[in-house]
Amino acid sequence: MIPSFGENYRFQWEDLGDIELGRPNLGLQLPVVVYRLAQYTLREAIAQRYGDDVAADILREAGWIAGREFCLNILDRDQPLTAFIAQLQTQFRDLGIGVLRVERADPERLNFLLTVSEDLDCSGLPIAGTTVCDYDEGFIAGLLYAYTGGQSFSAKEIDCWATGDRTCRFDVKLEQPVAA
Amino acid sequence: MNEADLRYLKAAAERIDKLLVARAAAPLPPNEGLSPELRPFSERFARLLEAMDALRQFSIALANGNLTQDPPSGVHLIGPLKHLQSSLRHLTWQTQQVAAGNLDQQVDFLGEFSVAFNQMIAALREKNAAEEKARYLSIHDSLTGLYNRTYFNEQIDQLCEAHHYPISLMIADLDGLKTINDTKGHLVGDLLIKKAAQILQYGVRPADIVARIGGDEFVIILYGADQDAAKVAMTQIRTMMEAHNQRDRDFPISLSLGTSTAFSQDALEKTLRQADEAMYQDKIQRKGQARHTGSRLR
Repeated sequence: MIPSFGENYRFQWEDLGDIELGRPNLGLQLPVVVYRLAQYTLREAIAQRYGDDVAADILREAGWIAGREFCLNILDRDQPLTAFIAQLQTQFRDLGIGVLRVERADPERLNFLLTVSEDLDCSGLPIAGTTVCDYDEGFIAGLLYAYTGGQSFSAKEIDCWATGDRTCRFDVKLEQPVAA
Repeated sequence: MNEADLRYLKAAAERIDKLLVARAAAPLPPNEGLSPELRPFSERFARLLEAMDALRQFSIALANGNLTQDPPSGVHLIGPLKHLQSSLRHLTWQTQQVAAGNLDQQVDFLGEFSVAFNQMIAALREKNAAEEKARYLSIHDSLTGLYNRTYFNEQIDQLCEAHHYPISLMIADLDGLKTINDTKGHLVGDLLIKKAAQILQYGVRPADIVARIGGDEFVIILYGADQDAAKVAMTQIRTMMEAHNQRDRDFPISLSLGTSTAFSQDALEKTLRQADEAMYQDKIQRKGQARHTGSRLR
């Protein structure tokens, strides 16, 4: 997915501010509950006003922006694919985003089956019967968009803690090459 | 409790017995006559049998090492096994990457297996590093960092197999090294060798091979270079040598140079000999010039 606005958004990495300067005593970390409180109340507010599907779409697009910015600002995009994935795994682990694993990878077709255990967004949630990691879907698609220099990916969550699974599983596919 | 209830409970008990000895337990036939009190239980028991069957099939596949079987969705009972399958699939992918030479892999959060896998990767990294170091030492000259005779010979053998002609060879000989060693000591002699190596290295293209093949002797492989290109390279080296000698008058460098060009692999040996002869001609000529000018570069 590439959002309809593509790269034309106003957010910049610098908008996150100088956290070390701003939080000399409380530091860079905060409990997962605070993150989830923000995400799920935001989702609720959007869903109340525009419906569940629109809320999911908006979170997916926000995740896409975040994934793209994360890749551009945190990751080394010059690495070959396997080294890039290893780097991503390390970042996911060190930042507490989740335990990223690769079940299948087709480097030629750029199709992947990825899992995220201990997922920041959903692990431990009540079972709702539907997947909830819309933000993660966008995040993965945005990451790969930045890594591949502008290719569109779809990332579809097929298993989720909220569907009763222990691991979130994402079916990631190259959608279409971007027109030159 | 009616007759249908009793039949149902008997059949259910048989299914449980089968499950307890890890055998397949077929679904129970529809029991139309069940009493209303037993129906909710029978519905749940039917779902449990279905889930247990999925669990049994999936765990057998997993135990047999079959990681390709996708687990059925919505069966929460097999959640931990799905997790295990996911980890095993990931480990399979990681092992494939390691086999392909990628030693960036690391396993996290799989207990003792993580420790063992990561130790194995660390050991492979150390082995690779040791092999790379050994390979480096085997093909490089320890004094100058240039390639050595072994590497030069390897390259010549490869040139014989490849067809990238013309190829020019240049022989360079550091003049007066023995005299310097005898009169000023080996430290100064080594310093001159290193400076000569630098001049040769910087005087040619990065892709060209510069090797030290003897105490005072160097050889350069100039890929794709005909006679004119070889002359240009020789002129460049001489210009750099003169510039160096202008800067460092205490320890000037004098290199005798000779080149020859091969247009086919058959001619390589002859080309090397001709380059050597050309270098000696240059040395004789330079000695003559030095006698006339009273230069100390002898």
